[in-house]
Amino acid sequence: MIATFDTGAIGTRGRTMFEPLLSERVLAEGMLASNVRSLWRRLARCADVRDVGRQLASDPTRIRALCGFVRSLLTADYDVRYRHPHDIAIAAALVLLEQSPLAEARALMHALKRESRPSLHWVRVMAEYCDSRFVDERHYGGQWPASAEDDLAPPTHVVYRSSGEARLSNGSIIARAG
Amino acid sequence: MRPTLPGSIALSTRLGREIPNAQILDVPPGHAERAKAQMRHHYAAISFERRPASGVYNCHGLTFANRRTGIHDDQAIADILNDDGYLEVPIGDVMPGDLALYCRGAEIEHSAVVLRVVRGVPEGTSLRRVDVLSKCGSAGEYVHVANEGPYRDCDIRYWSDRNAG
Repeated sequence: MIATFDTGAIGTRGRTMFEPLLSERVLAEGMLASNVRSLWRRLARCADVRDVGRQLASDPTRIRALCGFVRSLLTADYDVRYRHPHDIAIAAALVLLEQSPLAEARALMHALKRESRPSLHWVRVMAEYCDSRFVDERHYGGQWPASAEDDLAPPTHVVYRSSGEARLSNGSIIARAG
Repeated sequence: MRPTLPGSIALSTRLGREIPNAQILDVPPGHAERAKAQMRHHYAAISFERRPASGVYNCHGLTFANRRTGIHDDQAIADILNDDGYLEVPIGDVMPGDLALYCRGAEIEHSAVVLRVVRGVPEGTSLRRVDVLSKCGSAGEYVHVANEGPYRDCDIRYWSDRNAG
């Protein structure tokens, strides 16, 4: 059971947009992972996750809606003797939110890093991992640090520049300031 | 009903180096079946299930800790290989009981135990197939051909402790 959530300006389309994260395919890929890096890689490559990422692009309204979607999943009732029924979907959302500098996304990531419930083990370790991968342009002056996983950048792997311009990690400009 | 587990156990290499580990909860009833159906749809090699899904141990927990816990740290795997006397062996020398490590660069994504090595007859020299027992993440244990299944895009390296003494 998924609780209702505030999708803000994008309305009820948000639920439909994010529902692929709850798919069998995402669940199966998540269950095949042996550690957080392989979980991240499998989810980042998963077609359903990439589809959501493409729709998300770097739209702040949609990113905020995804944060709301994650919060709604977290508040759903479940049997705490087992893993959270949507832990893989939440982990997939964190992969998509990884490089977002929006305050809501960073706050969600930080809150989940402190999550102590055993049923949310994978959510916590994914939040830790994604936050460790987050590159804040203020710290790196716009230079993307080299990484062995650069070829597996998530769909929302976006570099935001102080000029207001946003680029995908491959250099494509996807947004310019007003 | 499974008794409450401690979350991690005392585990070390032969040389006494501590191995970090974690016993994770199982997925909710029904989720494992959903995932299994999806896996079988995408990975034909995943057909013979020896044991159903469990969060308690992962592939490395099967390979190195006898299913008692999960090992999620690559450095711990490197420590075990070193301290327990494992050596990499060429594919032509692989024997049942050896380990298959599925690597992506320096990272070990998956591990499995070699069950059977099928060679050509009658001379027994040409390697035809290696079958392994794999614990697939938090899903089940499966017997499959080593280079088929969910980790087929990894570089498979074989390791053995046969000369460890």
